[in-house]
Amino acid sequence: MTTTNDVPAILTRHLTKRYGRARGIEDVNLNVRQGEIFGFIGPNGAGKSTTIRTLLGLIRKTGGEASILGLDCEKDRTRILEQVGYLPSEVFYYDGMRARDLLAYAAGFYRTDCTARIRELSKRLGLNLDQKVEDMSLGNRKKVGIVQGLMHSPRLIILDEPTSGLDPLVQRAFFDLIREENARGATVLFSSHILSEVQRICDRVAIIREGHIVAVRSVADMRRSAVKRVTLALENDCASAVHALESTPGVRSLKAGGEDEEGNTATFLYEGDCNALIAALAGMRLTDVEIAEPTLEEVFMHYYQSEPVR
Amino acid sequence: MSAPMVGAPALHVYAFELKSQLRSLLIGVATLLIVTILLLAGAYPIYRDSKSSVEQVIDGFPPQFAALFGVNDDVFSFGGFYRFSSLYLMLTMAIMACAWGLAIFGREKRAKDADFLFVMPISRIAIYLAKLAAGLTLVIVAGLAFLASVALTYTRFGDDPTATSIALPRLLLAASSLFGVGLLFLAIGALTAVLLRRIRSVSGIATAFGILGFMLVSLPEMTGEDKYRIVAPFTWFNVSEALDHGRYEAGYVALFAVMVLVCLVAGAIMYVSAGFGSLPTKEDPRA
Repeated sequence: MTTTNDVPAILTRHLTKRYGRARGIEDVNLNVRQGEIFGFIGPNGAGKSTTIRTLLGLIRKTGGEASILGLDCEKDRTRILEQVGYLPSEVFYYDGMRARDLLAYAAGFYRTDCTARIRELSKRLGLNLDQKVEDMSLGNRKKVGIVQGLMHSPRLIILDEPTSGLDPLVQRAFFDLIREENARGATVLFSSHILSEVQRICDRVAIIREGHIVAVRSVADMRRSAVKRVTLALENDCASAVHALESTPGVRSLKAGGEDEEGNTATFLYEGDCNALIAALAGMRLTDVEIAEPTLEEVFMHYYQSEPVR
Repeated sequence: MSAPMVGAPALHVYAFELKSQLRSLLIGVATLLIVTILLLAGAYPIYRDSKSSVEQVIDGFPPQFAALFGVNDDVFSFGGFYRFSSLYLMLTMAIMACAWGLAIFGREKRAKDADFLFVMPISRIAIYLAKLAAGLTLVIVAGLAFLASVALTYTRFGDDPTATSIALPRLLLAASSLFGVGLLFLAIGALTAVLLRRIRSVSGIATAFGILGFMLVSLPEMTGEDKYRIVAPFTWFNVSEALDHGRYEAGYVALFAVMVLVCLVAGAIMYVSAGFGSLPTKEDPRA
């Protein structure tokens, strides 16, 4: 991946948006480097769309600062939008228009001739340009949105839940397109609540929870993190083991009481000194033990269920 | 696919809005012309030639009822009949212009696609002004078509001394009141579109505003109190003054200008503010 400019593609400092007394996002600090594919994950309602809409100037921030490609998100909004492609999570368009006409209307706002690119993208996604948008399925409307977001070869592509409604084949074509855009030099902000998607395509990930960024990690680091998934099979009743584990620092997401042919089982995530873990396990009667790499889903839940947000 | 326009995004929005409203413009202009021809070329000669019978009917009306519909003893002259007709012509223009304002400025709200237009590289004020220019164009085209139809109808009454006693420029000045009504109701429609969270029926809201404007005319007519003209926008364009003296009343013209400016500036301020029209996110209490 080539980075031609040191200016961050997206930079936010203490970015805050409140809806009256309701929470939107609080103190969001992001630094997305040019040329990377940056994942933005969190459950529904965590603040992903609010962050994106604040960045795009669709809603006004309550506090903090935000810039895209070195330009202020509010003052330089029009200049920013020339260089940004955006796919919203929910796609709505004018009634009565064919995809062809709608995309031609959108293309007219940019300084480049997008005709050939519209044709190419539509062909790759299998989009019928002559169909009226209102008659299209969610998946096909999403395709229109993808073409609209990519047709002008933007420097920054912002995708908000981009794959909802797309069938697996189109998803594959879509991911190929995003990788090609990234190889061309485009930065991608990929918002999703589906971790496997993020794992598939992103370099780094920010996890947002209840409007706060709780972690920013590379996908590789998250996989390699000290967090381990530990599964114990205990000879006897696991109550005493659970008691011991609950008082062991670094143990999270403890689930106990399951039974199999090996005996009672307990599973948990562990982050910390492995000697302390071994010492805690040494006092237990085990029939089996498995210490494994957690799935990204488990890593996510680890962050998501950690200490309460301030 | 037609080659996309390069640059001039505001002109792009303007052309899109005009194209989108073309059917509505044609229907509106046709309606206005039909009403004009039916009233001036159709009904007026019948009224004039059946004066005694019509007078008997008018005498049977309660004065308030006659005032409500703009009927008085003057309807047997061309100028008088034009004054009477102008209320209905203003009503037609008011409904049309209000509908254009609602449709143009409420388009993204109705389609829920503000996120489509507002992420295009064009400032919101440029979008607002482009839409306003499209609305003004519609009002001007409809107004010019109306002026042409009035002038053509007028030429049919060369042998009617009540018509020839009015100079054509004065008649056209009186007919120009429709530009004022159109502009005012376009601005009202625009502001309403910006203010309302949802626009369920463009035609319903526009008709309600038009009928309200029409009904308010009867307030000064029935009470005889001139001060009530301030709440009756159709009376701000005094057709009698235009026909008789070749002018409009400066105070009411100023009132009209202030009202239009207030509506358009208030609409612009709300329209350009971030958050306007945008779909609520899941954290937004509106969601």
